[in-house]
Parts: sequence; structure tokens; C-alpha cells
Amino acid sequence: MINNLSAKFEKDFGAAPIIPDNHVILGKSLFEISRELKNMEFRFKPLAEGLLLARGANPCARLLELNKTKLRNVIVLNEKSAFLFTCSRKVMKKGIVKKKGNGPVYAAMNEKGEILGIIEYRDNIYSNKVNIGYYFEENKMDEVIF
Amino acid sequence: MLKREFRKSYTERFGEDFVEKFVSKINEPYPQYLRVNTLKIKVDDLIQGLEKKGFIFKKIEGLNYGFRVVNEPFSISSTEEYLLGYFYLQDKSSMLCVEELNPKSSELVLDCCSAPGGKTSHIAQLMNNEGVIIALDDKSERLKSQLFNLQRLGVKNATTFKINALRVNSLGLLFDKILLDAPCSASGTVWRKKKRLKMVNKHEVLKSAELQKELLRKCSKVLKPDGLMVYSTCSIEKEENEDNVIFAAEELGLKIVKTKYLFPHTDNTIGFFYAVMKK
Repeated sequence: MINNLSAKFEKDFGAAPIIPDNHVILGKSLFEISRELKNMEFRFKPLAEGLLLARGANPCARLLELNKTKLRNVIVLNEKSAFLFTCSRKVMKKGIVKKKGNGPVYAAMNEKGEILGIIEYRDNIYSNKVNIGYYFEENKMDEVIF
Repeated sequence: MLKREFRKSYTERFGEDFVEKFVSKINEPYPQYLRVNTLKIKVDDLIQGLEKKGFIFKKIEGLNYGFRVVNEPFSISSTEEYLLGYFYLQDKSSMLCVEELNPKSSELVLDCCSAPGGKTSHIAQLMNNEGVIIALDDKSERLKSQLFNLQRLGVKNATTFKINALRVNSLGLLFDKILLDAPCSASGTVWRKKKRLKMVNKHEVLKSAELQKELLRKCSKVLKPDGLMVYSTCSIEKEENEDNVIFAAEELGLKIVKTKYLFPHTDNTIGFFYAVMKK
């Protein structure tokens, strides 16, 4: 799972991710956990442990945050655009403050450098692939926690 | 209006004046509180940032990271800061009971009936994301919210099990501290949820009280010697609070360290009860 994740991450964002030592895989999810939690053994499989880093090969906000300085494909959004992005709107070109890299996939950040989600660029449109407000959308909470 | 059976019971327990003030208070707007998530941001940085957007706050006395939202130009949960997990909207009473638990970063802490994770993330905050929190709940929908909240708030030291807290001994663990925020009739939440005024009834209170006793019994068995347990409910019924504390002391041998009621008209919170107990 980690190999697939690393390969996809490198393809999308231009660098292999650093994955914290204190991690655990549960099903198809990768979690970052505290040192003490890493040392514990449980009789049952938990539903979740610590912070979600990725689901399958799809990175979550925490993994992007940990690798923020290594990301080659980044789009920085202005305040209004950043807010609309977290409401799952598409990104308008005039809302882009800075664009780094050249690829179909970009990490979306606000001007403070906080990770807001992932943008996909296709057919001249910057679409909202996933964002930190995604969970609040009806019918999407089952799909993903970014 | 309060149901007759509750009005009578409160008058007998607390007096006529109490009931009048209580009823008058719950007709006022319910205040919103937030807890700054110091795992992700410094208190001043968040408050100053939100004040620039027009929000006004008043600090909760005795809590460095707790604030009452005095004015909001738009819903505070629509801010980027909320989605980024810089704060959690939570009643003051919930913050106070976790403060009483006083979890330390080296400890193994159990949070029974944990979803949607507000108190769990507060415990993680006080533990500085170290040590271990075991969070239990058996309600799928609420657990989804918990997983999201713990992710949003950056909690690394909690592990969530979908287990009924009555089966806590099956984990085979002994805990330094336990927060038992027990399922209850929620009669104290009538300020926040007006529909509770019509829904809550004495039958539900008695049914909850039985379940709470059973939870106390199970939890006391997995508490380490000298371990600390905080029992809390958002109910103001004697059967769910004082009676259960007496049960814990007499039947389970727990030492009662402190008990406290919080009320809308005296503490500006929902009606809430907590007891600090030691094994």
C-alpha cells in the first residue's frame, strides 16, 4: 500500500512523500499515531487510529501538510477563492495568486500556506477534486475524510 | 414550559426561585462557546484572526483556551479556521468536566461513549497528543462524525473502537483515567434543544439511570487502583446523578472527590452534572 501511495504521490506532486515512522495500516487506510499508541497491542481491530494520512493511494490533508515544502505542484488561492474552494466550488483563474509546477494535479493552499485540498486541471478547468470541507456535503461523508 | 412532573421535582429539590430563574433563562438565546485547539494553533493567533473577521469573544474564567462567542457576523462554523480544526464548538460544561479529568501525557485514558469526539479531542489536547486514548462508541452515524472531528482537530493519540461501553472489559486493559460521559435523558439540554422539553419523561430518566449504573459498574472494573474517573451527564435528574454517585460509592467502593451541578441561570451553560471519583 505504501509503495502505491508513494508512487502516486510522486507522480502527482513531484516528490516521494515522507511518511512518519509512527504509522499503522488498518485495512486500506494509513494512520499516523502517537509513539505510545504504536507500542500497544489490541485484542480487536480498531475502527481508526490517530490521524489519517491516506486511503489507498489517495493522500489526505495531513500527508500533504507533512510534505508541504516538497510539493512541486501547488496552487495558492486568494481569500475569497480559498473560501469558495472549501465549499467545493471550482477554481476561477482570477482566484489563483500563485501557481507552481505543471501537471494535472495540484495541492491547493491558501495564502497562509495551509493545505485546503487537491485541484485537478483538465480541459482548461481547475476542478475541485477534494477539499477539507468535503465531509459536510450530503452523500459524500461516506466516501472520504480528507 | 417545563412539564409538571419536572417542575414539581425541581421545586422540591432546588426551590421555587430556582425554577423561576431556570425557566426564564432557557427562554433567552443559547450562548455559543468554542475551545481553541492548541494542538494546531496558539490561542492568541486564532482569536486575533477571527476578531479581524468581525467576531467578538469573551474568555471563560479559569480556562485559557475557552471562549464565549459574543458576536458573530456570520456562522463561525463556516470559517476556514473551523475546517482547519483550529477550534471546536463545545459547551462550557463539557470543557469543565474534561479539565477535572486532568489527563497526563503518559497515561492510558478511556473515553466511554465518545462520539462525536469533542471531549476526546479535548483530552488529546491536554495530553499534548501523547499517551493513549481509547475511545468507545457503538453508534455508526456518530462514529463517522467522530472520525472526521478527530482528523480535523489533528488528534494522533486516540484509537476508536466500535464497541458498546458495557463490553469495555473485553479490551483486557486497565486505565489510569476514565471519562464516562454517560448516555442520559438529556433533561439539562432544554436550553439548547427546546424539543427536549416535550420529549423527556420520567420513564426515560429511570431507564437511563439503570444503564448508567451498569456503565459505572463496568468502568469501575477497568479502572486502575488509585485511578480517577469522571462521571458526567447532561441531565439534572437526581436519579441519573446523585443516586448514581451514591451507588458508585456504596456498591462499587469508589471514593467521591467532588460533585458539581451546572445550570443555565447560574453558570450560563446547559444543565450538566459531573462527579470526580477515585478507586
